[in-house]
Order: sequence, then structure tokens, then C-alpha cells
Amino acid sequence: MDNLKLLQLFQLADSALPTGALSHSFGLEMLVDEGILKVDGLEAFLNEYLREGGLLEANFCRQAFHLGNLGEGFNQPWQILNERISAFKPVRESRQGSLSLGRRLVALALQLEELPQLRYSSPGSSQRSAETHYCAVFGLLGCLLEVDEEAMVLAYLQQTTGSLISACQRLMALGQGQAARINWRLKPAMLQTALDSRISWQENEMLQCFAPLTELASMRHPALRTRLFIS
Amino acid sequence: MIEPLEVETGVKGRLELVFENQAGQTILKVPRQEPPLKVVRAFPLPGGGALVHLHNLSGGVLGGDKLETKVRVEAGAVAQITSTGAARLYRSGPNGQASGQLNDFSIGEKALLEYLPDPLIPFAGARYRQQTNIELAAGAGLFWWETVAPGREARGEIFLYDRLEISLSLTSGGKSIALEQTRLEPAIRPLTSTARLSHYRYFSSFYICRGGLEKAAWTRLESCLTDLAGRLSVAGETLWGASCLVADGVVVRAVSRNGRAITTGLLEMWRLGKQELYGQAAIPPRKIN
Repeated sequence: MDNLKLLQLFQLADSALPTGALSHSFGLEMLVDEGILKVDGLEAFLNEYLREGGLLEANFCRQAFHLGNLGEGFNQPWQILNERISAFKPVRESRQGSLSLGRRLVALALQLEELPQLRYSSPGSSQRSAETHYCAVFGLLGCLLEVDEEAMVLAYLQQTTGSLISACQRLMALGQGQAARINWRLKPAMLQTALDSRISWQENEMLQCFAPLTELASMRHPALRTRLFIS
Repeated sequence: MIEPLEVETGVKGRLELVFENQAGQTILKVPRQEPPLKVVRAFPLPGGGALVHLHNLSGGVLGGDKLETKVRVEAGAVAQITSTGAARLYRSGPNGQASGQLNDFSIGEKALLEYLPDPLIPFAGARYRQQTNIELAAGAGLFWWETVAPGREARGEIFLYDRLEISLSLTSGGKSIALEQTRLEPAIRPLTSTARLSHYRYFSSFYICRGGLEKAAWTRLESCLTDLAGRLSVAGETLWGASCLVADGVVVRAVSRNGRAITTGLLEMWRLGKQELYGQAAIPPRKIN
């Protein structure tokens, strides 16, 4: 991967990328509010989260990456992939959050590069497949920008984990230094998740996720009287 | 010389049920039943539906068993299916053979299936794989729940099973509306992690679907079920939640420290969902044991 691609990947993986990722906690706000998730358990939580939701999305990221090479045959499998991701996300708020981030990433990327396949997925498209999930768009973008596949998956995991830690900084007494240390120590788990997804992404039967408590937290999140996050 | 008995390493059981609508009365037909799976008879339900109890003559799923259940609810028919007791998932066989259950359900136009089994209880050392495919035709309805216990709690067996794989594929009008694929290996990925169950032990999913309704109807039902979820939830004991699926349905989830709270709550959710979607009372299946 040349240095220009590397720099582009850094920007995509930057939590400051204006996609709205910082507005979503994906259920963590409720877990914190109910006292289930605390500072001293955050690192262990994220470690296991990476093995469940993180791994599932890494698989979708890879699947999208490989669709990027399909050329004219792209549209239908792209639509199927995104419908599949939606079906795997039972919680309305989290599903809509993922779609919202996907739409914003498409719009942003189209401002940065001329990418015809992304245009098919843009909010202005009349196609049904304008419903695009963030993990899928990230993977597709990686392919279209000719970024190394492994680096792309790692960047995705780094970006999403970083966003969750950032959300926790606003939800609990988690200082910047402590947050940085947790993020640093999670790198081996991110590597392992990326490695696991290399084995599982091609086999739909191997995709799995078990995160009932986080899903329940997302379902219960709208009932919070005051909240910082959309999801 | 006496020949040693062959050691059975599992059976292949098949059950095929067809529910037909005959002038407003649902009739059960059983094209195939091979032990240990069996049904004895169908009981009429008020309004013309039919209630069936699924029996497993082995008393549970033994290591190596491969079971297959196919259910077809034809257009306009109304079927209620329950079990005669909890599904005991026994320890895997000496060769570590996993047991498996394949469920294939299709629900025809304007038909209704209520699938209300007792919980799965995976014993210590159990290896079990269950795959469920449910296809809903236009206007078809579904109330489908499943609860998984941590094990034989009274014996202190909590999450001592080896592996539990449970997958569900739910389509409506040919479109995938829910996919679940879980692989639980408590010794490798602790279920007590906050990312999974934390201190809760039971978990349950309840799908409530009906094709052809406007999105607003689902938003309203989600809201009603969420209110009920709030009333049923007891912090630290039992949590309930509900959410709209991509289309044509709502899913209710629950985790709990005790199974009784789940059973009671599922009945409440079912009553509310049935009333909202069909304007009818939910009639709990009478048990025959």
C-alpha cells in the first residue's frame, strides 16, 4: 500500500471524520445508565464486544470490500449484503444509526473522490440499495480506494472502537489518559478480530453474534428521559 | 459367542406437519413422523384453529440425534404448536457428536402460526445445533418464541454446556427480515461478560409478525410492547425490550435470572401482541403432562 493510500485510510479511520459517529453510543448509554457498564469493566466489555458485534461487522466489511471488484454485477449483491446486515440488526435505533452513518460516509466520500459505484449507493439514488450500512460502505470504500484489505479491516475496528470509547468518555468518569490506555491495550483484540474475520467472512453460516444485553440496552434506550446520544 | 450390541450414536427423527384450512376449520395432516418425534392428535381451538403438542419420545435430544421438523401452515389455516415440556439437550455422545435440530416452517397467505415451546435446557457437556427457517407469505402471521435456560440450575449446572449453536432465518414475502446466528461456547467466550449476559442466566426472543401492515402499525405496537417491557423489567432481575424489525414485525428480547419471569412475561407480550394485531385474546395452550 503506498503512502498516499495510507494517509487516506488514516483520515477515514479518524474519529473526527464528519459522519456523525460521535452521536451514537449503540446502546452503551443505557448500559451505563443502568449501572451495568462501569469504568472498571469497560476494557473487558470492549474486548468481548469485538469478538461479537465487532467480528460480525468486520466480516461484512470484508464482504463489501470484495464486492467492490465486481464491476457491472455489483448492484444486486450490494443490495443483498445491506439487506442482510439490516436483518442481522434487530434493534431499530441501532439499525437506523448504522444506515445513517453509511449514508453520510457515502456522501462524504463522493465529495472527496469520483467513485461511480458509490454513487449507486448515495442518498440521492432512486435505487433501493441506497440503504447502506456503515460497515459495508467502509469496506467498499477501502476497495475503491485500493487500500490493503487487512489495513482496511483494522482501520474499521480502530475507528468503531475509538467511537465507543469516546462515547464512554462522555457517559462516565473516564479521563482522556485512561481512555487512551484502554484503546491502546485493545489493539491485540482488534488484530485477533481482524484475523478471525479472515477465516469467517466467506461463510455466511460462520457469521455469528451474541450480544443480548447490548441489544436490550439499545431497545430500552429511547425510554431514557434525557440522553446524549441518538442511539 | 454373544455379539456385542451395536452402540446407537444417535437417531434421525423426522416430523412433517401440514395444517389445512377446510371451510374455516384447520385440519392437521401428518405426512411423516419418525421416532423420536411424534404428535398424537390436534385439539380444536376456538375460532377454528388447531393445537398440536410436539413429543420427543426419547425424553430429550441425545448426543448424535439429528432431528428434522417441517411445518406447513397452508393459506388461511391457524396453527398453535407447543411442546410437552422443556427440551432437554443431553451431554454429547462418547465421540463428542453434536445433536441437531432443523426446523423448516412455512406459513401461507393469511395463515397464522403460534409456536410456543417450553425452554431449551442444555445439560453439562451438551453440543447442539439448531437451525430454524421461517417463511411468511403475504399476510401471514407469526408468534414465535424461544427461551434458553443456563442448564440444570437445581444441580448447579450453569453454562456448563460445550457448545450451543442457534440460528434463525425469518423471511416475509421473500425478504429477509431477521437473522440470528449465535454460537455459544461458555468455556471459550464467557456468557457472564457484560457484552453478553452479565449476571443474567436465561435469554429469550419472541418474534411477532404479520405481513401487509403499514409501518405505523409496527411503530405503535413497538411502543405498546416497550411500555409493557418497562413494567415487566426489574433491574438486576429481568430486562425486557422490544423493537421493530426491518419490516412486517417486532422482536421482543428478554434476559433474566429466573425462568419463571420469562415465561410469565412472554405470555403478557403474546396477549398484547395478539390483541393489537388480531383483536383476539391469546389462549395459552393447555398442557398434557
